[in-house]
Amino acid sequence: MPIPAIRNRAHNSLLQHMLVALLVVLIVSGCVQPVKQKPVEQPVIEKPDVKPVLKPAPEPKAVVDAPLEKVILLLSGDLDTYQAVARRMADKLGDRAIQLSLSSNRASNQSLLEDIEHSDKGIIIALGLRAARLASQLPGKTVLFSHVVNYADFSFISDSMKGVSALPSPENVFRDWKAVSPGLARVAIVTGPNMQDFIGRAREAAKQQGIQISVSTVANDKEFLYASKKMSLDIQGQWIVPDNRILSSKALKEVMAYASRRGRQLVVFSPSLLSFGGLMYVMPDDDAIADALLQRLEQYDVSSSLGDEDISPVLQHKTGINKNIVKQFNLTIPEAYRALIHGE
Amino acid sequence: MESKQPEQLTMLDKAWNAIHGLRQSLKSGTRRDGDHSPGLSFLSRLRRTSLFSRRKSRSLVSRILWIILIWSIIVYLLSVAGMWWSSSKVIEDNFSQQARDWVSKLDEMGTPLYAGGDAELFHAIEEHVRRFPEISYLRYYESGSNSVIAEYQSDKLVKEVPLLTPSLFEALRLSIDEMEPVFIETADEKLNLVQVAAPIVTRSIRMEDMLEFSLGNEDEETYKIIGFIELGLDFSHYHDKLIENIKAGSLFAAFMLAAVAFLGRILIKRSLTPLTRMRKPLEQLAKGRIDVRVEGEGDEEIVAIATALNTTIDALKSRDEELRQLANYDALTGLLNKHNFNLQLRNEIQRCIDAEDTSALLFIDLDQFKHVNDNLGHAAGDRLLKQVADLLKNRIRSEDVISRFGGDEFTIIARSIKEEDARIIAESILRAMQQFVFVENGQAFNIYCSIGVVLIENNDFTAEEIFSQADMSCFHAKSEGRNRYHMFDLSEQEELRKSADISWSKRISDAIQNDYFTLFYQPVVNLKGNSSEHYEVLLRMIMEDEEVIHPNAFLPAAERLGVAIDIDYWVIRNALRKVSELCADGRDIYLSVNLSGRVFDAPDLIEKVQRYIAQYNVDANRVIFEITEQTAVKHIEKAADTINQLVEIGCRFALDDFGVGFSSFNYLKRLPVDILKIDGDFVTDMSKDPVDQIMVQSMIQIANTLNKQTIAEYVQDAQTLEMLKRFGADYVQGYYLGKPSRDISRDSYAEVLDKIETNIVTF
Repeated sequence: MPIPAIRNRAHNSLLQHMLVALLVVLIVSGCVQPVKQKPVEQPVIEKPDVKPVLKPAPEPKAVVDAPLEKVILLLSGDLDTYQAVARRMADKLGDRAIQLSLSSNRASNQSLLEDIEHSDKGIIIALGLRAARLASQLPGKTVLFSHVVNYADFSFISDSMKGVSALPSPENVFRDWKAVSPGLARVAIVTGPNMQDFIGRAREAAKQQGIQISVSTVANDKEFLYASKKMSLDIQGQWIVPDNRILSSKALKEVMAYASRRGRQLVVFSPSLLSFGGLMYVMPDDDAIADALLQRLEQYDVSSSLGDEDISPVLQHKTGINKNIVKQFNLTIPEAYRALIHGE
Repeated sequence: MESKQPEQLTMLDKAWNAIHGLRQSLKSGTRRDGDHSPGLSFLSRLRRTSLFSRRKSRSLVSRILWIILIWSIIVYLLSVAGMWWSSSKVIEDNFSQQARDWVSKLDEMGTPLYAGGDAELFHAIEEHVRRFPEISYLRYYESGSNSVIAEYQSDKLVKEVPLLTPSLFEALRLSIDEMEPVFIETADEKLNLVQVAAPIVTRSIRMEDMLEFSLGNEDEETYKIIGFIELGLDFSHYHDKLIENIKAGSLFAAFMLAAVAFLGRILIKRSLTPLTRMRKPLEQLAKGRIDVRVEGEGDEEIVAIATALNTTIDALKSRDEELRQLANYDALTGLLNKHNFNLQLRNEIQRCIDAEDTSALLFIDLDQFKHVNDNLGHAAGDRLLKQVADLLKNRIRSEDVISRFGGDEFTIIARSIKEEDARIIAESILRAMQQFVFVENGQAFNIYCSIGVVLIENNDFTAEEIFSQADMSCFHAKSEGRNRYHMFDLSEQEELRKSADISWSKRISDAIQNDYFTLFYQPVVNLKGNSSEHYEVLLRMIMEDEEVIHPNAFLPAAERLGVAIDIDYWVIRNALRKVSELCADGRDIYLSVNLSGRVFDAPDLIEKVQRYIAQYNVDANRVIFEITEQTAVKHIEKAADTINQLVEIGCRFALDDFGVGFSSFNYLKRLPVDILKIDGDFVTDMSKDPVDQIMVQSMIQIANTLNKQTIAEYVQDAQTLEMLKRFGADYVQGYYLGKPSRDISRDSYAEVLDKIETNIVTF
């Protein structure tokens, strides 16, 4: 005999599922328009007053000739970064965009996917790994994804599925790092497996800045720790790439502590890590991600193809500099980067 | 860690085994040496040892030192045990922490093994751990198959260590949440290792958490067991080192304790030296010598003890002096009393013999004293006596002796004078008395006296005889008309005595042969509730006219004629026969028999007494021989020997006239007498004389102290009897209870007992 609380929860779940399915059908068929989300307060995004190396993504053009396919914004969850990207895209796409979020309920998500699968043609913008994985399982659907680091592990790249990088552009990272620390000559990167594209770009970007790069590919956090310690002997700094497969809190703390003790500069992927000894953090800008997705969507609208580029780079990033570490390394921050200093 | 190798048993382990054995012994109450007496517990045996026994005499210093030594040993053992326990605990914790650290370090070092299985990598690990001798072996296991992927073994590993069992792998998988390595309980004690194992776990942050990263969400991370690590640590080196250190520490502590004990011994002996110095004077004090002083020095407690003892000695001296004063002097006049005068007289006789000197004894009796006493009362009589005493004191030289002999009788010993000088003194006293006027209530009385004078020369007279001569001379003076003196003439005495002796000699001889002697019996009553009949046997002579003659009339003659011992034998024989008869009649009876001093010269006394006892089949215990204190002291060596022999037979002894001579109490220790018979002179007027009361009370206390019984004779009235009861006398005897009589019936004794029980006196 089921416990009442569990039974009620099952009923609620079923009712929710039916309402969502009905809403999707009505929206896809054009009977109703999605409720426009109320704009949320924008987080403070620090943008360096520097010119990006790569050309920024062009503003998407309005399609007027023929009705465009609907765009389903499928969010893996309710993270701020998903919401920010989805909001910017929804703003640009207008009625064309439909935003859907995966819940923690697997059955509900499956039902949602079935509804999407049985609907008319449409492009799915999958934000996050979960959304990308589910979308990749939908036959005949065109999918653009973002916020996925290890897309190669899941063989996401195909003609109908392309993505936008979840990592900041190595060019931007090395440019800013070199600007802050001009004497930088040898750095290390430790990544998980199947990151050859990124590594290749990183090597190229480092070379352009006159930096010698050592790369180690590891399988887990222990290897990350081991490799980081081992490589720290003959480098000046390490870029800790946000590859969740090889990172654990313990390993991160230990690597950062180890590096700090040995006077190594660290570029990290979150402002929260600055207090643990990071020199600067670099993370992709949400708007830039959205713009990159829109650019690929525009390309698709024009050519009905996602193009040859598997992963589009994100040309803008958020960054910040740790004032204490700057002092520790006795660095001189260029005028253009002064605004990025944390702790002023 | 918990297991110990047999060869690692320490002294502490042995001590623990010994304590355990002791505990078992305490529980079972049996001895370990084979004495399985169930009633004898360990504690009782311990208490009976000389150290803890209160009964056994033991040096205080020695006892304190032993206690300190035992206490030191206990403290030492406890210290060593505490040191062992705490050190073991610290070492164990340290080993555990070291094991954790090694697991963490080797976990990290071994991580690459799981990436590519690089054999060189493990070689580096081997090289590393080889530098640490405590690592006996190291194994890395694969997660899936639980197979060993790399292994290191130290050369010192004595035995192959078995691989982890499936159940242990399961336990390790379950332990992942605790983040703690698992210590393996090994059944193989030969390994002597700390074995520890832990899963090798990789963790990764969830992708979603990466996008909004916050360091600290470790619980949200996903994990994966990629393998297991197992290692064995051999801490025996440190363990052995610990034992060595504890041994060294124990030896040092033992040395320190020994040093402290040695110094303590010196200090304690030095501190207690003043106490031990007290021993000798205290022993002297215990022997009755009160002329000792206890030296008080050192600590204040010892000084206080010495002060208290000296105060007690002073008090004893003061009391002794007071008692002597009371015993030797007349309370009314302050002159010597009768007892002391007799002593002085004996001493003077001996002095005259030794120095071939001549002195004089003057016996003074007031002529009109009875008249004053009867008409003016006792108080006036007392005042008269005091005035006469003062008058006489002023008439004698400082070296002369004067006493109030009793009633209105005074005696003077005038030393080193001839007959003419004695006459001058006597005439001087007569003149002084003739000039003396006693005024009382406006009336004037002329008080005269009669004086008997006898010279104390180097002759063969005893004190009693000389006194008797003086008394006789005084009587002669009175008979000639009073207010005069009479100088004793030796020729008169000799004639009188010779005629008397001839007469008594025949009578005594006839009395012994024809049983003209007879025995009178005076009841002696027990005040402590013993209802046995007890009589003192008193000798009497029956004259032809049935007149009963007191022994005072014939015993001096018997002494002179050398037949006193025959009288003693007659009395002993007849007394024993009487006891035999009465006991045969079913009476529970005891008889006291007086002995003269001659018995100590009789070689066959013991033999005869034994013969009589056997002849009459009498329990020797029923005969109590009485010997006077003066006689016993005079023949102390012989008396002690004779008394001892009679006591061995079973007879008992009483010391008669105790207190007359006031001899040293040391004599009492040498005489095995059972009973002290207080001299009747102390008892007769005891109810009126507080001095006699104190004397009697003191004598009873002395007897009690010496564990001897007392008989108070001459009990004349109910008040005296009541006082004696209160003073704690054991027996009483006297006219108030029963006069000497031939009647020895059971009824007469019952009447005496009734008198004791109904004696109620109101003071």
